[in-house]
Amino acid sequence: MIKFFLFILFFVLGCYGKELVEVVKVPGNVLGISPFSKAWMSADFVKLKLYPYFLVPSNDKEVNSLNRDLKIKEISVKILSDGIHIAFLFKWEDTTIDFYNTDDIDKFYDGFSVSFAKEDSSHPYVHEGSENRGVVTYVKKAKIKSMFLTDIGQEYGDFFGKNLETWKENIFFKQLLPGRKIILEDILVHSQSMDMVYKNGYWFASLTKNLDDSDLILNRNIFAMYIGVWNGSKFQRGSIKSITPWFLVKLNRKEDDLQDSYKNEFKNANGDISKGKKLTDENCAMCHRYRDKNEAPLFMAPNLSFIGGYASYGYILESLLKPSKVIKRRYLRRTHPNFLWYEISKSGETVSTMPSFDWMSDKDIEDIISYLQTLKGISKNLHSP
Amino acid sequence: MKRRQLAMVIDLNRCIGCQTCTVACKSMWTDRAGREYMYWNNVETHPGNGYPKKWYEHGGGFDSSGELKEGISPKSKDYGIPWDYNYNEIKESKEFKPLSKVEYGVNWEEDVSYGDNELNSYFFYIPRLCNHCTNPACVSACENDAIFKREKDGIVLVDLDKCDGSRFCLSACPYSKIYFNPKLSKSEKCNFCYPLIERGLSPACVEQCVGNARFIGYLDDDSGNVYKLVKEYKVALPLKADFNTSPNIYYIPPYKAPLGFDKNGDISENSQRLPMDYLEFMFGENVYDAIDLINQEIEKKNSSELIAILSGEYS
Repeated sequence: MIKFFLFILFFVLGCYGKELVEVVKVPGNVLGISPFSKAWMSADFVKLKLYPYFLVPSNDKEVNSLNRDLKIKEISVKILSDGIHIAFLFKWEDTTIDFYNTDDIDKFYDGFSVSFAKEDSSHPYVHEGSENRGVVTYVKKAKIKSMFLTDIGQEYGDFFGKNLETWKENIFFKQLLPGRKIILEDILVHSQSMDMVYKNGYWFASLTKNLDDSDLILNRNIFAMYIGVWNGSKFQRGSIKSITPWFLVKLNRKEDDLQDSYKNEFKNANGDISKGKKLTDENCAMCHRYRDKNEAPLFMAPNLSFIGGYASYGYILESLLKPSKVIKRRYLRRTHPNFLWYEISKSGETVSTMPSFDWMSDKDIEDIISYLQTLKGISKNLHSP
Repeated sequence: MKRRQLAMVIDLNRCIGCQTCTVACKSMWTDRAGREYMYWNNVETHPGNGYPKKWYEHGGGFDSSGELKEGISPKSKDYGIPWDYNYNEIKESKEFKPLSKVEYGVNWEEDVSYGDNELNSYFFYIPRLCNHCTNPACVSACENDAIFKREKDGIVLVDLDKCDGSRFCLSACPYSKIYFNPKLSKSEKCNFCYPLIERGLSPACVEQCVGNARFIGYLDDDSGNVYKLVKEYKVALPLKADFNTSPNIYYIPPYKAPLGFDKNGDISENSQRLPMDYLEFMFGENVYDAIDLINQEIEKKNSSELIAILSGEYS
C-alpha cells in the first residue's frame, strides 16, 4: 500500500514537478517588496529552464548574427502571497548588464516579461496568446524610470498620443493581435510593482500585484504562467527572447486536485522516439527546420529546434491535430508574403497553412510528440541558410 | 473610401541646398525631447554619403519576390554625435574649438563636389524625407502593428501608443527615414504634416521651399502637376526604386550642367559633367529618358506644357 502511494507520489512529481511552483504564504504585506526583501527568505528558489524563442530570422541582420548559437539558461523563481497580494521573484544569470540609457540610440536593454493565462478553463498554449486564450503580460525593461518621458500626448500637443485614435481613419494593412494585453511597467498602477536589480552577475527581478484586479484573477487554486527574458547585449527585443514553458502555480498548498486537463496539458509523451523521429523527418521537415534538418525554406514555418522545451504536450498535440487553433498571430504575413503561415477567411476565421495530421493514428501522433519533446538541446547556426 | 496616395515631386534643379525645408521641419516637429538628432527632412549633397552615413547601403526594403530583406539599423556614429563649442573659453582668447570629437553630422559634406578634376566637378542636392511608400517596409517589419498607412491619403504614421521601441522598422526602412527616440523609447518619422494636410494646407517643407522646388498632390488626380510629372511625362523618378517599397516622393533629376573642360583647361563642347552613373544609381535607368525629354521640351520654348509646369506657371 505504501509502495503504491510512493509510486503515485513519484509519478505525480515526475510529471509535474518541474511545471508546478507552490506559492509560500507569508504574514504581512508583500505588495511592493523589493527583490532583496527579507520576506523572500521564507521561500526556496525553484529552478526553471529558459529556452531560446527565435522562430524565424528577423529582418535585423545584427540580431540574426548575434543569436545564431543560443543556449538554454536557467531561471530561479520564488512566489509569495499574503492572501491579498502576490509577489514573484526571478533570478537569472547575465554576464552583460544592459541598462537602457536615454541618450543612447544604439543599445538594447535587458528586460523580463511575466505572462499569465487569463482564463482558467482553456490553456493559452501559444505564448503570445491567441483567440479565446487570453494572456496578460507584464513587461519591464532595465532602465531608469525617472529619466523617461511618460506623457507622450503632452509632448505632441493634440495630434498624437491618446488623441491619435481620432486620426486613424480607414487604416489598411490591418492586423490584429487577439487575446493579448501588454502592461508596460510605465503604466503600472499603484497596486502593482515591478523591479529589476543587477547584483553579482545576476538579475533579480520582481513583480508584485493584487491577486485579483480588473486584468487578471489569480485567486484560484492553480494558474498558468511563463517568464520571458531579453538579453540586451544580443539585441534581443520584441518576440526574440528566451522563455520558460508555461508552468503551473499552486496557490493553495492544502488542496491537491490537479485537474485532468492540466495533467494532459503538461504530461510527457510515452511513444517511440526513434519512430517519432522518422515520422517527423518524413512529415514535418519539408516545412519546419529543427536540429540539423535544414531543408525547409527559411521562412516556411517556425523553427522547431527548442519546441520540446517551451511547448507543452497539449500545445504540440493541438498543433498537430488542429493547427488553426494555435496560430502565432504575431508572425508577420506582410514580411514574408511568399510563406504565409495563416490566412484569414472571409468570415474572419484564421486558417493555418499547416495541414492537420488528424489522419495519423494516435500511436504515430504520440511517437511524433515523443520525438518533438526531445528537441530542446543546443542548436548551432540557428536560421543559417 | 477610395484609396488615395499623396505624393510629392521635388525638382532637384530648383533646389539650392538652403536647408529651409530642414529648418521648417525641425522647428515644427523635432526640436527637442530625444529628437535632436532627427531630421525628418534633410538636404544632402550628392554624390555623397548622406544622412545617416551611407543610408543606401544599410539594407532593408524588399527583394523582387516581395520578401523583406535584412538590414542594419543606423548607429549613432552614422548620424554623428552632436557637439558643442568652447564658447566660455574664447573670452580668454583661446582657440575656438569643439568640445568633443567631431566625426559626422547632418549635411556633413555640404557642397563637396565629385568629378575627375576640380574643373569638371559636379554635385547636386537631394532633399530627403519619408517616402510614404505604397509598400512600406517599416509597416511590414513592425511586430506590434504600430505603423499604419492611411487609406485616404497614403500617409504612413507611427501609433506611439503601440510602439514598443523594438526598432525592427529602422532595419527595414532602406531610406533610414524612421528614427528612434531614446527619450521616449519609440520610433518616430515624418508624418507628412498630416495635421496641415487635414486642413487643406501643404506640409511645412513644401510651404517654406524658397525655390518652389516641391509639388504636392494626389497621384490619381490627372489634372494635377504631380500626376503629369510622374505618370504622364515620367520625368519625376522615385529614389532608389530598386528597394521595392514603391516610394511616393519623386525627383526631377538634374538635366543640365555647365560645359566641362578638357586636359588643357579649354572648354569642351562635348563634355558631360552630369554624373550619369550616379544618377542612374539613385533614380534608375529611366533617368536617361527623363533628362532627354526635359532637354527636348526646353527646345520647344513656350509651347511646352512640361516646361510650364516645371517653371511654376501652373502652380
